[in-house]
Amino acid sequence: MKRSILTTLVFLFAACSPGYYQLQDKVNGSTEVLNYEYTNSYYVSELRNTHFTVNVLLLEPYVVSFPQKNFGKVHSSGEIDAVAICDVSIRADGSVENYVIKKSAGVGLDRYTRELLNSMKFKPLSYKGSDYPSKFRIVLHYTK
Amino acid sequence: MKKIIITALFILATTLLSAASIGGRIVDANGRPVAGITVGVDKIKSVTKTDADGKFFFDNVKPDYYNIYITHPEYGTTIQRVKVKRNFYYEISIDKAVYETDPAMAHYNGTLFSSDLAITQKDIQTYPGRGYGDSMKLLQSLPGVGGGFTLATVPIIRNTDTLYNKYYIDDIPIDYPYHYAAGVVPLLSSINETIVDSVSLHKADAPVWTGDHLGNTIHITTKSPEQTGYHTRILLDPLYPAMPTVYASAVPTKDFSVVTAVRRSLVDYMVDTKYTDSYFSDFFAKAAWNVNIDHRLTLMANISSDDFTYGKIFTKSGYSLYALKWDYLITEKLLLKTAVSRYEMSQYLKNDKAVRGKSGAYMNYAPVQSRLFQSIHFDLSRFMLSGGYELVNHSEGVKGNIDLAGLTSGGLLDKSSEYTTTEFPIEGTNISLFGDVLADFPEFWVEMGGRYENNGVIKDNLFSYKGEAGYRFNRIAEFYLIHSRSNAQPDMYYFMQLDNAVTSGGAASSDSSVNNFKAANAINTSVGNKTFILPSVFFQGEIYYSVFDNLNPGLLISAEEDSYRKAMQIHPFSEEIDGTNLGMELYLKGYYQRYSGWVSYSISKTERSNAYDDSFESEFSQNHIFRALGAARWGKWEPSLQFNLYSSLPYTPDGSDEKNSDRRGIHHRLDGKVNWYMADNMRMYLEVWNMYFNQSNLVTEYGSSNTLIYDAPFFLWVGMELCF
Repeated sequence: MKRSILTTLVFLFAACSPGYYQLQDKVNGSTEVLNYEYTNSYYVSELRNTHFTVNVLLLEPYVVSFPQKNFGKVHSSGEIDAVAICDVSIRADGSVENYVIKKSAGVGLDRYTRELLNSMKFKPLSYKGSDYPSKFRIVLHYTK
Repeated sequence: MKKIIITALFILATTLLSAASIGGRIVDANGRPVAGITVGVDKIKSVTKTDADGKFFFDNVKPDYYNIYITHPEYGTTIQRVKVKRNFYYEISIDKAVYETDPAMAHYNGTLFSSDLAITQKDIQTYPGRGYGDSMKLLQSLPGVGGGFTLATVPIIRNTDTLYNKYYIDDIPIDYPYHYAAGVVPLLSSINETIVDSVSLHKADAPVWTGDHLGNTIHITTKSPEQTGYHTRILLDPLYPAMPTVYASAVPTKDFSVVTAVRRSLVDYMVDTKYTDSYFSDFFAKAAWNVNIDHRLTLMANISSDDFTYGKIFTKSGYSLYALKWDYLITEKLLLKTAVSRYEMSQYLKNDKAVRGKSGAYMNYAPVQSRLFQSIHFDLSRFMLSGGYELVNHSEGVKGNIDLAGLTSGGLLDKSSEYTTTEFPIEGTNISLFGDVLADFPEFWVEMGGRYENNGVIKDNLFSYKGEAGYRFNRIAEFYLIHSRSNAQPDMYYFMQLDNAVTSGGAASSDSSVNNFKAANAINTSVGNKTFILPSVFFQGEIYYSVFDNLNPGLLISAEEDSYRKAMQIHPFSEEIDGTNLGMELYLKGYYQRYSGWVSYSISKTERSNAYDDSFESEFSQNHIFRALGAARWGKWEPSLQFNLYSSLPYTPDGSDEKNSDRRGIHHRLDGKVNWYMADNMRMYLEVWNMYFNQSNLVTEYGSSNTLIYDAPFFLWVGMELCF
């Protein structure tokens, strides 16, 4: 019985190579803190997950304000359907830095495209709690 | 001791087996190493950064499957799934990230929702109802739109004869964009899903620039490229009619774009049969060129054809449509639209078997419509003026070597008809003038428009109009009243009954009333409400009343069997002439987080009369129609359901005074679909029809035939979409 217990303990000890219970955090230098927390089994899983998520999760930018305006009354009456494709550079504060129209909607709609892009607001790209500039491709579909 | 040795050996072996690693090198699009990229491995929850050589390394990992996260604000996040057996090493190339979202809809009216009742390409992808390639089947889920049975493809709008539906593809009119089996049974629309941006519906409120309808029009807006560069989509429907679609889009410059889609059934290649052969094909191409900031030219071609051969019997049907559009913004407040188009519809039937020494019977129907359209739109602040003209020249016509009476009674098939010469042109020019005034104020609007048409084919003057008034409440709700009169000129089947038909072997029809042909007309009135209950929930309710006159001058083809009447859908079996419609429609559409869907309910009552009966229910009537659609998105999975509940169509025995109001039954069924977005460029779907259904027979035991007509049973198929 004693031998069996001893054998089991030896097996468990040996099988647990350091790579499996120590988090090799080479990003933030917080290995010690995390390793300390690892010894408290209650927090291990949650901390590991949080640490991993914080490092790999990147919150993509998105449009938070897209002003709907009454515009293009003649386009509406003429039932003009058009698509514009634009690449927008977004600052870290979510404002539009500049843009390039990659596909023009035509029929005089480019002026509305510029107007819309200039008044759009974005949630900037966010990574590890900080905001970053980014590039965003937006497709504007003009329709009745 | 022995146990300790065995244990030690086991541990050693385990350790050796576990001694795996993950390493790699990250480079940019030019092959240069990228330093400082965060790399994480999911199961070990470990992260690192690439060094100056772009390299990363994780040791002490177990052999297993891992997701490797590669993250950087400038390059975005890439997730790769790898299988690690021992030492895994690979090189990966990453590009700078350009983030995207769904297209932002910029509605001219400044609301989040389109003002039109419509389905979109996304709806067609998401919900069951696309069927075996029919992009317009889903129209039947909108309020006021009925359908006869599971495979019915032609929408019945507010209980009116489907012959009076008018279709527009990017504002270019077309009569029947459907594929036919054996030249007569519409099976699926010839506008395939990949080119559909949206299909919107006007019910009794069609704009005055449109003509030849009873107020109901279907507007197909085709897709414009939403990606730069060159892209291809392949849509595979492996079951009959095995009909792959290849779609391609190109945006070579910012001012020029092309979309094209080709589809053809492959059954005739895959199955070699001795007596039967058939195929369907359609082609669509659209090139748009912004000549400068204010001019846009669009060239469009749409060709559809189907062949069906059974022994010596041969049918060929289809159409070709070519159009050139020119949109010109003269000033910021003045727009000119011009369109030139040519539309040829073709129905060709032939029996090659020689009879009584003659070479075989045929009938070729190929009318051509050449159209010039111009409209001008003038913005006067609170007022919008628009007007224009339309010239439609009809030419060509019908040729054959049997008489029409023989054709309509099946003479072509059984060769019993007398051989003769049938030839009559469908000629004339329709000249239309139209104008519209819209007074638009923040809280209310009034619109009035009229259209005058000198119809050179039926030699008649037609006047139609539309008036609309509405009140807006806080930009989230509006109440409206619409009153209109519409005229429908005869289409291909009606032309065959004109008194100018030149036949030397028999009358065009056995009914002499066709000699006094007049256009059908409808007077429609509706009141309704549109409300955004929440920013993402839209409600519409409408009550309508319509009065019809001259609906059908006489029967062209007799069909006692309901199964024929049901299957052929748009053919003029109906003998109804005058009548009324009264109904109410409710529609609720919305989305919440991962869920979306809509519910529609229509209740209606129709009264019709003809030469035999002064009061019966239209055979296109469905008193109750209820549809509920719902979809949800969980990661890569998107299940959806569509529940249908509706009255069966009360088909009218022709030439009989039998009333049919007691032959309706409530039919209900449940369809389902699951989309699996396997990757950014790959989607698989499973569609199941009639998962649950009740009363599969649409019509039972009428008259003396005791016919029991079954709807389609439970069936399913799998499809796939690939994007490049």
